[in-house]
Amino acid sequence: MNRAPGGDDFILSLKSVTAVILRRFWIILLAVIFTVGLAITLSFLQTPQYEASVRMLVGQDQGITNSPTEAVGLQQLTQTMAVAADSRPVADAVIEEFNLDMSTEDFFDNLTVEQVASTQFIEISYLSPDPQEAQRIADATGEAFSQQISEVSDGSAPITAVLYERAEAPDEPVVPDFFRNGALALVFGLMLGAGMAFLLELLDDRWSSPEEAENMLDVPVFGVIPVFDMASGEDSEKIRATLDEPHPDVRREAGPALLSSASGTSDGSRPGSDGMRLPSSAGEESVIWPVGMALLDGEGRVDEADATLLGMFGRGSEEVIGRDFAGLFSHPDDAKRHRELHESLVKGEWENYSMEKRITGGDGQITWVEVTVSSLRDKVPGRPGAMVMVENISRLKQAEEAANFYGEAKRLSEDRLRTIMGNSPLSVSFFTPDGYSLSEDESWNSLWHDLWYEPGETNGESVLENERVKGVGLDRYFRQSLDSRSETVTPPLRLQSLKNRGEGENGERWLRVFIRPVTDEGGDVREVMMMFEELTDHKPGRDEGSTPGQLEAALRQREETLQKAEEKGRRLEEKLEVVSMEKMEIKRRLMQMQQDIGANRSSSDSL
Amino acid sequence: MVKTKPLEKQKSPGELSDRLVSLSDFSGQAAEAYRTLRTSLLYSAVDDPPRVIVITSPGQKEGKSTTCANLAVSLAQAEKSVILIDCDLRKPVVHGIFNLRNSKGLVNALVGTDRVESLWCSPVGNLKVLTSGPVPPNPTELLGSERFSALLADLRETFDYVLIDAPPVQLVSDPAIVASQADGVILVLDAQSTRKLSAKRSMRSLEAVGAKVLGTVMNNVKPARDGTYGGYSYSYDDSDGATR
Repeated sequence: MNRAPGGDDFILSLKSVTAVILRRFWIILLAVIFTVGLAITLSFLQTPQYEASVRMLVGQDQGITNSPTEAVGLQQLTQTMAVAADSRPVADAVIEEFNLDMSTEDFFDNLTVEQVASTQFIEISYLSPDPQEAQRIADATGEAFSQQISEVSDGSAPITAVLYERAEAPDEPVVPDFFRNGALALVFGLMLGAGMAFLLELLDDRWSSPEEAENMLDVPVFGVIPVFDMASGEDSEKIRATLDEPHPDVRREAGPALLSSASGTSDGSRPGSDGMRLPSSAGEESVIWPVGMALLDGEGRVDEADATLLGMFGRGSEEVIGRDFAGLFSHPDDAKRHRELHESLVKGEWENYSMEKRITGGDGQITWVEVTVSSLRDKVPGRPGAMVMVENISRLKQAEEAANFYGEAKRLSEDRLRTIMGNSPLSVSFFTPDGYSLSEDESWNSLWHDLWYEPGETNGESVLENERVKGVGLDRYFRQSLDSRSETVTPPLRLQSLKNRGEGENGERWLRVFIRPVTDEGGDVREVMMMFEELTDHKPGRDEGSTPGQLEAALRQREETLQKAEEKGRRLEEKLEVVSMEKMEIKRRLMQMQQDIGANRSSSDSL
Repeated sequence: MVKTKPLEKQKSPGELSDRLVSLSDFSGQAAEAYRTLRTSLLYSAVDDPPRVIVITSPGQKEGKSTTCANLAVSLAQAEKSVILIDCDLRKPVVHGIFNLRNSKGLVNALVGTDRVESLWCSPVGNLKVLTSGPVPPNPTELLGSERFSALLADLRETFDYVLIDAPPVQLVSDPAIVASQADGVILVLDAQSTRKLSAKRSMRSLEAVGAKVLGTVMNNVKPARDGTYGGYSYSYDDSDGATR
């Protein structure tokens, strides 16, 4: 349907009418089916009614006259008689005769009297649910009528009404009449459907043509993009090949390999040697990661630090290794706080903490960093220390300041620090690049399982497919991280807790996820590490409860959480061990194979 | 050790970059449509050609970023120097389309000391892409800042075209703020899902801030049933946005 330019009038052409009807054909069809169906159903519900009729011959003196003029007069007389047959005295006579339990009005409702056109006959029909009764009453009415006429008409030429044809008991009911009802419903349905089709067309809010958009918005339509399939197979290879082609100022590259699965080996007696290694950076000049990492020994001194962290400090490794981490280049206000936190960690009061602090870089610049420290105690054999992740958050701080968000942020971070003192579950899991978990079932049952799955639901589902994961957009970050081969830190994700498990306010939980793809030497993603940080308890405004009972309950709950975390840590450690053994085995076989190849080559050379 | 990974369930996730049909299927209908769009834009105003162009749409998922990226590639293929800025600081996707990392970007140029030259990438010749960078808490303030205006002015001197991928007009006020500083706005309409009323409202809110709406792009148009490319007829079977 087209709109006339500059006006709202419809130009109705035969073509557009046909188009509308064809397009909404199913609406018309539905309307027809509905009305006809309704009519048929209602017909079935009706009580069957039978009709019996008698014919009366009206005459004067003798029966049928042979005089044409008289015949015309008699026909007119017949009309009068027809009215007389439909009259109260006749009705009363019949009702009295049969002792019928009905009023005169009801009787009239069932009685039809009409003159057979242009004849001296009157047809009297009676409608009744019972065919026998219909016949009897029709006959009785005829007789009563005949008698009534002979009573009122006397004299030389009395008018007579003779019962000419007696009624027969009808076989077929006249009601319901399926055919008539169906036909009526069909016509009605067609009309209704067509009406609805045009109404819908009128109300249709979608664009029928680019011209329509031009007329409505008064700006040209620059382009009409047809529906297209996303590239796949060869085409998407082509895109990626084009995108990966080196261009003069491509600046960002894939991140270096992270040997995260390496863990304690059987001989784990020498701390820091084979116990646990930091991600190996592929050369000093490689990409700067947003997160620096370090390993601390049992006394909180730096054992190892990666290039990123050194870059953040702006110092060489000789100035960092072996120094006390908490005080390392810290702003004096923060160092004390950090030391207190770390001491509690060493004492085993909690397993990890996270704080925002200021550090002074080599060039004297103050940088804001977020430090997350997880204890390795009891997790990696021979490593009593802790793992540190340092994220540069200066830009965020600056942005906050720029927007006068500073005060708010400070309050938030202080609140957060307070709550972190209590509880900060942090859990690490590994995934295949397809998003399937590499963890064992039991270890799942802790945080991850609580968060995403219904009780009893399996976890054999990819994070890319799970609806709840998608709901918070985690799959997007996962994919993004995978695509860019780089680490991604999600903003706090809010998710609705499963029923009966609401922990935070309104049953909401907050979670932050660090995603880091682990690449092998060839640059392919081997597995993906995800670290989940539970933020629910860090959200400000959570009331611990004031009465001793509530407090006790809160404390007990906290104790439970901590126990759970400890349990989880143990499982993780077991898993790490298995993975590292597997890795060693693979390495050994690889070397074996290389040696074999070398041996083969040398033997073939010698031939 | 029980592995919980069912092998048969593996599916390759849809890549954002698969939307760059201008690169993959150069002679295809969609790529041709983007070239038509480019031509319309190039010749829309001869005397004072628009060079800083905001691309937005009334609602979400109507094809802003896809259109923006493909248009940028088309312009670059026509030997124009183009920069594409992801100003959607709330849900940035441009980096995904071009397979880039988004650790630094526009936000760093606005609040930090990074020079913008060090922040953009060049995934395709002639085309520079400035990703959004970390998601800030105050996108509207950042985009309304003087630094942003200054940045746009600088880029205008450097490039033939500055394309800006903005958030949806109906949801946030960012696009109106950005549009007021640009030469023109292109409104992307999804033929299947954009309502006429929201298109009208978007026009009104853009015009209210003095932005000049150059034209619209009708996205996601289903070809007529008889296969001709003239009439557009739509049926009720809304496929939920095969393109975005």
